[in-house]
Amino acid sequence: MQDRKYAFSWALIGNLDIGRPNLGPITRLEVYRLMQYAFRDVIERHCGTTKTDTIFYESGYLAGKEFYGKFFSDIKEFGAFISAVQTTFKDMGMGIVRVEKADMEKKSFVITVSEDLDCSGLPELETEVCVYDEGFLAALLDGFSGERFTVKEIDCWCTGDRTCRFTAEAAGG
Amino acid sequence: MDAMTHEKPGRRDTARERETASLVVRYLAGIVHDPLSPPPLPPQLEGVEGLRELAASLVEVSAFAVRLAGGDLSGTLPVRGAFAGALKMLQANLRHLAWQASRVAEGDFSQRVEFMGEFSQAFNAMAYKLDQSQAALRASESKYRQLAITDSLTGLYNLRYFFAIAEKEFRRALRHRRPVSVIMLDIDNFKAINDRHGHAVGDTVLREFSVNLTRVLRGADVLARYGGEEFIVLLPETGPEAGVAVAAKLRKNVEGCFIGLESGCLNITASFGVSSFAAFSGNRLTAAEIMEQTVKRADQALYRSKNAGKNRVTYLEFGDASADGQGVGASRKMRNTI
Repeated sequence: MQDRKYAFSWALIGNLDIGRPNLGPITRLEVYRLMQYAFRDVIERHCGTTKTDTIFYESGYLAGKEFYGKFFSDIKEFGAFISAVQTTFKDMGMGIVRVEKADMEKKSFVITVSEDLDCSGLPELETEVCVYDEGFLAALLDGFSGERFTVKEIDCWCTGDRTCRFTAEAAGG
Repeated sequence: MDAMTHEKPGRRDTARERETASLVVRYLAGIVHDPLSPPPLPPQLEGVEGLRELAASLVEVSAFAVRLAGGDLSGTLPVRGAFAGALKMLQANLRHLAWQASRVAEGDFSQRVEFMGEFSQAFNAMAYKLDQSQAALRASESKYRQLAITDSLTGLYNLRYFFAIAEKEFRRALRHRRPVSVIMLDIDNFKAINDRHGHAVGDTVLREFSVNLTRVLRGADVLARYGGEEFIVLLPETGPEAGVAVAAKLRKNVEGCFIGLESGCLNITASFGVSSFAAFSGNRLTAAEIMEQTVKRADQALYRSKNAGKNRVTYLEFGDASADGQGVGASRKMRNTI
């Protein structure tokens, strides 16, 4: 695609110190969810459910890739990487990250995110909804390991669980 | 006509429903009682809508809970809903704890638990204590390692450690054909200082003298107390001329140094002996033999400085055997030390 209008850049996040001298960088989670689920609604109507999920996964992946580059790219040791992810997620109010399983040889992980942005507190639905988070986590693991990971949510608040649980497997693992 | 025949159809239905409900309760209670060997679905309940699915979920949830209570964290629970979700959250927490414990076992004492109530406090206290113990152990290990390699009076390396380093350095010098020099030095008239001012002053002189030497030497040079008022310096990458220059600089520095005492200032001098190894062509000696001979020559050179009136530097060639039989037995002491 030529002449793109919305190619991501950190410049689009803007200078919040200048831009929001009174309100600062914090907003209510309802506003975030309002925007996300409004996007889902409209995109689903235009593109269908499967395509919507793909768009959200890829958006999460792009965000995760940028996030990794900005915050974690100089970390080499897995424990330090996870600690940094846990701390950053918590400090920025994104969720509480925990590692259930980390098999470095098989490149297989089970990660949970509690109190997340997308689904904690939602009513029960038939399916998991955290596709954006799947893409986001996949990008973080890809960035750290240099390998392509597939992340799948297996438990979600929306299916009655109290934490979102993700499996992550290296594509060639 | 008996009572049954007079019973209205609605009442019969209610009684049957109660009986069915009672059977459902007994059936589900049987599952709760022993989820690992659940009772079969009674034939009378086959037609109850949703009961089979509910029973299957109850079996799965209960069995999962039993296994979880037994410490089996590996199970999966495909059932949805708040109760199953709570159990899965407990499983997730316990698995994360297990991962954190494994991190602690690998030495990452920064792990902290912020959930699971009292257990968190106990875990965090354990990790904190382990961290403290490890830090204390490391400090203690470092202290004892330092004590093992240093001279307690001057803080310089002791002879054993000096020769451990020197041996490596001579091996390296031989492998890369690089020069190396040794200086031996001795405070002049130290016995007289001790006799006149006492041993406490003698100790002060030794400490001040050591500090003075350290200031002049390069970081790569290795200085050690040889014993008594004798010291030895290893000069890596240093040939004869540079070795003598370093010794001359040390001598001048010592001569110009006044050690403050309560009774006034004390001016001391020292004598120096230098030898170097830089002749690699035709060499058949091992690194250890070269080291021994270099130290021996430096010792003999020191002996000559003493005999020639003290407060001077003497150089002896590595191959110069003219002084054999002289010296204070440095090489013998070296052998004993090694």
